[in-house]
Amino acid sequence: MKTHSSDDPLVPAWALRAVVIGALAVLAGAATPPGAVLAAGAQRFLSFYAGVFTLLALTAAVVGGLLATERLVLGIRHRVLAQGAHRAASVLAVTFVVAHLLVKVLGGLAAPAQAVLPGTGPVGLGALAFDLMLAVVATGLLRARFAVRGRPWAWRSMHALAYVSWPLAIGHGLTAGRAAAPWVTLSYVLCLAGVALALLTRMIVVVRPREVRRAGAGIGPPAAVRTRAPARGAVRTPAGEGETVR
Amino acid sequence: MARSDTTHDAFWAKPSTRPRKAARRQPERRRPRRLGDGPSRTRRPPAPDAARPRARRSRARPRRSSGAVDRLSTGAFVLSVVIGLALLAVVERDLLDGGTIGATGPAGARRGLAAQPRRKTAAPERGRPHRAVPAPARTPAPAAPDLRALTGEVRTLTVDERGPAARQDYGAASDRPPLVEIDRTSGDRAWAFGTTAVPVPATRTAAPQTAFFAARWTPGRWRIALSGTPAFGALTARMPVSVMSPGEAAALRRFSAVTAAQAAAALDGRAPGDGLMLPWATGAAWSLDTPSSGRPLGVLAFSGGDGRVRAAGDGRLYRFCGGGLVMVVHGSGVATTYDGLRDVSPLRGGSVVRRGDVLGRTGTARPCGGAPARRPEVGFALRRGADAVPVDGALIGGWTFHERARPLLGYAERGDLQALPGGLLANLGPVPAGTPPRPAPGERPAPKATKTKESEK
Repeated sequence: MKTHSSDDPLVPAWALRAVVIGALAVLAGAATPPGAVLAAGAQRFLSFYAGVFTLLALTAAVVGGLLATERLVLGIRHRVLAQGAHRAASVLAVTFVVAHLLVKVLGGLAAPAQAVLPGTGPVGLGALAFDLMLAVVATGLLRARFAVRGRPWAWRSMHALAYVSWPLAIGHGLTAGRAAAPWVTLSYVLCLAGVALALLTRMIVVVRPREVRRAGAGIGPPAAVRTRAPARGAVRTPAGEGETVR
Repeated sequence: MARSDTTHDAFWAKPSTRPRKAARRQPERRRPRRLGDGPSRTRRPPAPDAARPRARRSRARPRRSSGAVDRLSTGAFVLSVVIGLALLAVVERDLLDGGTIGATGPAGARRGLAAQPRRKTAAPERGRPHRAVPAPARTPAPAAPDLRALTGEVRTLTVDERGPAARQDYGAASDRPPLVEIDRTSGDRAWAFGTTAVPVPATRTAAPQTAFFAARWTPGRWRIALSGTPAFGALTARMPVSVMSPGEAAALRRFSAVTAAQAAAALDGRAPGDGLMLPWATGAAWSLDTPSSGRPLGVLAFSGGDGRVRAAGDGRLYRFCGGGLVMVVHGSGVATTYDGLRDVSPLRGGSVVRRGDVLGRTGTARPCGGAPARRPEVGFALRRGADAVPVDGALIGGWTFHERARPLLGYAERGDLQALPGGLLANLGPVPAGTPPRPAPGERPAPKATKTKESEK
């Protein structure tokens, strides 16, 4: 995996400058009356939609992540694409969940402590899903540190908390939010069923990994080659073989 | 490692000219690699080349797919930055406004103040303590007209004069002090005119008690009169033209002076009324709803259609409670009120509007207090200067509205048609009533029908 340094940064320098200038412009503009109207409109929009977008992005992340491990049907190219979609969707999910928490707390609909303290009520479910999501995202970012060791299941078991966080988030969305239209509930049920099915195939692959034929596996051990070398003559002796012939 | 292949050297000899493209080529390696793949890495070129990517076809395909992956990630980051900037604006606005903005409930309903005692301790919660003690004012009499003191005095006067009627209409005491707005003042601030409303408790649905006030500064104190009292007529008669035109003053005097009997006659067709229609476009059908507590027709809730609320008749427009409630004062002295409007017309208070002019859109918030509606609605009611006018018997838009005690029901009818709560009402415009009404639900049917049946036997 590529590690970045100051010579080759993740975000180019011009982008950082543009973001800083944009932030200053937003800070200045929001103090004006027309800016206040826009900010109120943005807050209404986010208060209405940020939760929905979080759940959509989280669903895309879970489905993408699961597709990236799918070895029975997909080729490597598709899995790389799914992996990229998984990362993009999880970045968006984090952004939208932060926006969702912020506008709900600012709107007076939840106390700040309710955002992180889990509970059994609708908001508490969301807080629990958020805490688990933090753990999942942290393990995802630190993936490289786990990859050097030879125990993939240490990372997988922590990242698999996503399969607990996601249904909790769906439950939060269906109970704490507006009454969902029937097609919304149906879509989420279908997504849950699809993910369960894909998880089942994933478990099959784990339990019975397919045979991976490596290049050169059909060729026999060097002992078989040694008996043929004198018959060929001394036309070409690879450097390695010279020792044994001697 | 020796490279004897000259074409290999020539291929890799050209220096890279665009390092950014090289950074983009690296993500190819994102594929999970096994530990045994170590030695093959050294065979990749240490100097990344961007000159001839098409020379190696075998590399082009994986690079295109990782390009799509990079676009996904870049797009996600850009969107996150945009959302972050929007959140920055939202937080800044919240800090500047010093409170929560854009709450989904009616203004102040969530801040749940304890019921204020209705006597003189009507100090408002916004931190303007100018009248904390009853009648004997301990503060020295202000030498110049003080508008903040005026606001406090109007609040007290509203509670004194309209409090009992509001308590009866709403069924419970109001939980907030009256909402007072000074609409206009004279240049020297000696004359003032504005609106006041007693907020509805957050759990009830009712038409708010509203009143106009006129005030004159005499040395030492304000003289204030609420609409519905004779003093209001006297004050408006003497108001300078710069504050209120004579035509408007005459209209408000009529509004203040009309009696209950005169209002009822104007509405049910006995006297030449204003030709009121239902407050939406002629021909459209909206649905009717009635409140669950209080009088069955205390306030009518209309919803549906295109959501645009229109004036029911010609008159003058006024706004209450910061714009959420609009009142149109008609020529006969009866006024129609429209509660819970969004995007209210920006006309100045006192402007003349015609029947059918758009006043605003239906909404769920209730700035004058009251339970927020479950869907965008307009709360329609009738008023005169001193009190509310019952809708029972009024002819509006071709429909006659009735209230019944047994069963407790409010409905509209026109000839053979009846519209119960939840039903649709088509706005027929300012037309007279239809054929005589059928017996109302709950009454026994006319004896004529049984007679014919007997004769047929």
